[in-house]
Amino acid sequence: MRRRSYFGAIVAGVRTTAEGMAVTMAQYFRRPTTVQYPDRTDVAVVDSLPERYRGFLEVDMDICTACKACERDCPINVIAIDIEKVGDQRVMTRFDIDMGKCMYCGICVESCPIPAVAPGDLEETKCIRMTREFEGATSEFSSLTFRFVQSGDPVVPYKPTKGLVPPTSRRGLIAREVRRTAQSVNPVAFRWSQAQKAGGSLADLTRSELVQARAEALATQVAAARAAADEPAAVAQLLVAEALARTDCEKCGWPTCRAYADAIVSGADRALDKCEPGGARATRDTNLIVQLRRGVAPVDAAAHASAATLRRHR
Amino acid sequence: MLVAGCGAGDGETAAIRDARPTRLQRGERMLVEASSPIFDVGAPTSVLIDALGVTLPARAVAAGRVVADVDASVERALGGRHLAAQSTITVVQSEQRWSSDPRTRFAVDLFPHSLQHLANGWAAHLPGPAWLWWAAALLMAAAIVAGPLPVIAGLIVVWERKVSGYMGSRLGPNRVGPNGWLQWLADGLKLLMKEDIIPTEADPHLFRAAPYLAFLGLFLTFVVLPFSRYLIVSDLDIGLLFLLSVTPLVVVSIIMGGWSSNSKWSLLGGMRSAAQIISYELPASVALLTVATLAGSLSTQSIVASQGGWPWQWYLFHDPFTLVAFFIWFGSALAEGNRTPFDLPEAESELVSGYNTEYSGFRFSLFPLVEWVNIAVIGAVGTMLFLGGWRIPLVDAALLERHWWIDLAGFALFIAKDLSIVFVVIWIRWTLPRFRVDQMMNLCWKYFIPFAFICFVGELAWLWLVPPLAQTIVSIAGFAIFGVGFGGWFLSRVRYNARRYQDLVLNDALGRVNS
Repeated sequence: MRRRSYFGAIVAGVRTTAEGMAVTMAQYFRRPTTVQYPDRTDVAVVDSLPERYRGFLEVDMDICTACKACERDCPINVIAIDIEKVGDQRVMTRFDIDMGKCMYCGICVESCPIPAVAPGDLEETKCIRMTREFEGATSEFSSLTFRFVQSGDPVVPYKPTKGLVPPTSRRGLIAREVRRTAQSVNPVAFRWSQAQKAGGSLADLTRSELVQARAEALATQVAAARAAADEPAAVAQLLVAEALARTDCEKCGWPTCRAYADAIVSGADRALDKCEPGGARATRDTNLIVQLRRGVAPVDAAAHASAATLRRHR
Repeated sequence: MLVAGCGAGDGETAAIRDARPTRLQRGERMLVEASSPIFDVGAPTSVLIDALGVTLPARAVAAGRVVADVDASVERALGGRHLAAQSTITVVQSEQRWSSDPRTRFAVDLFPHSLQHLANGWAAHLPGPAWLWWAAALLMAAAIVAGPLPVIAGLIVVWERKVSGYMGSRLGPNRVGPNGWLQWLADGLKLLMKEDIIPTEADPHLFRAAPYLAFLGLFLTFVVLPFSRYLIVSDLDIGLLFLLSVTPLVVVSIIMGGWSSNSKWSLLGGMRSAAQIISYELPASVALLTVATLAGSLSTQSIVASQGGWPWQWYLFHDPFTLVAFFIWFGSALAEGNRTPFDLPEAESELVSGYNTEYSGFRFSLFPLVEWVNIAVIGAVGTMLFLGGWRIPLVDAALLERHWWIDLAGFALFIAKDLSIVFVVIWIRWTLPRFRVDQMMNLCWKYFIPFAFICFVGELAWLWLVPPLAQTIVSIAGFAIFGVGFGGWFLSRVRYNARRYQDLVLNDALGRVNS
């Protein structure tokens, strides 16, 4: 900066201050450019975002080949894919993306080998892709785990045809759907909705007529599972679907809910009250299912489950 | 009286040289001094305030001195009314009369109204011990003054955030209450509900006490702020001096908070604040002294009363020296209030939050409260010293005395002037970046202090040398050149800077497209 004389500095100080204040005063009279999100926008905010915006990931399971390229390439293990054999058919029993952990780098999209064409897009997209969905505010991280395969509904991998770019749904629709499912199925929402269904508090959860009704409802399912070809797997599947919180939180000491269920069925884990996110309800229903599987009558199973739940959660 | 002394410098000397104080409550005394030993000690004496036709019982205590009593009997004789006039003073002693110089009249003010005066009146007339009523009335006055402080601070905070929003093409708070104007309530409640954390290593007593001291320093300034002719807690004779001595209590609090927090950031903030406030106290005081010289009084009401309602009668435009003094005072007030560009004590980019880093909850909330009310106090002091206070054009003291509601207009005018200064303070914050420490010190010691002294001495010379008519002409010219001319130039610069914007709110309102 040029060195000024004593009086030059005064003149410069006064002049530049006045000029600066004129600039800010001119700014003062400009219309705000703020978008009043979320309640005073002209168009849906998602629609106002650019096409290449990096929002939630979504997977079109109809065209997923189960190549696991995205799972392999994810630098922070956000994606989890389980493949099992049912008969001689490979199926995906799990395709989870933990959006709470995702850093939106897009490497999974880069590595995905299946191109696809989504309506409304100028560019070709992939089977796994970024969408413009971004609203994931939640009070529980695990509701940000998007499950593209619902438990009990395994997905058969897609066989790609050479030279054919398969059409896919509008980008964002699948993400919106799985987010809705995640919010209603995953832990907090799960606990709230279940507690509400059951009547709320521990006292309500263990009210005899309610437990009785629950035991009778489960009895038919347990009977069906016991009749299945692979009895332990069917019961474990039932435990995951009906009793456990399905958050894979690992607080029970097992890596997944399914692993815990398998351990219960095989007798490796005898504690039936380890599902923390599921709370009292999970303890009660796990007890019910285990009792019913042993052939105990629903009335006695209900009494036993109520007592066990009260013992543990009082 | 300095002015009287200056004015009497030419020609023959009047018999009565000086009379002080000229603002008198019940129970106070006026001391009248003669130019030469003329009084007869012991002879029946009285002091006549000519313009009011009031005679005060008096006694000669020396050959050159008479003491007049303003006691309850005088108040009763006058009906307890407030009387004010520019008057000569005459001493009557056994057929002999001596008067003061008719060219330099004294601003005599008998029984001026204030909340304290009101309290005195109640104390005297209600049954029971007077001191109890007096204390109760004073407590009530304090509550009346202290009550609005959080509201003032809150509204200024919201206003500041809105202004900062608009200057950044944003909206600012707009959710809580009408257009966000209740945001301060939400913020305040949140702060009140927070945990009050006292760091383990902190000095617990000093740490706890510091915020209250800051509040006290600020609160005491409200004692002498003249919001209108009658709305003042107590019109102290040493009002300006009182103001200068209580505001630095805030710096004690800041150092206390900074030191007792036992944290680097707090300590650095506190030390910076101390250096800053002590440095800028000097130019601020000298700039205020310039005005005190002009008014011939340190009483805040007298300073306001000696200005006029029209802008060219304000002390701001009185002469070039007061104009410069105003800007020196304003800059120093910003520095003392820790406002940008002088916000070094809480420089958030360097010191986390400065002296209040370790505070939380209610104790923390007192610091911002003090800071923002202080902006209003800066505005009030500037208004009363330089912008004519509550004076309304064409309304004189007699008219005010007859219609009390005119006083409300004066109050509104005072608040309007106050708010315009507050706006400028906010505006500066969103315009100027923060000074470096050495720049801040340079500005004070190399620029403000010498110029403040030049203003002070120049003011004395001006009063002494420039005849009254020329003073009036200079005032009007000053208003024309600075108020209108500079204001016009500034508006043209604003227009120039806004020339490219297509989205001016003004154009929206006028349905016009900016070209």
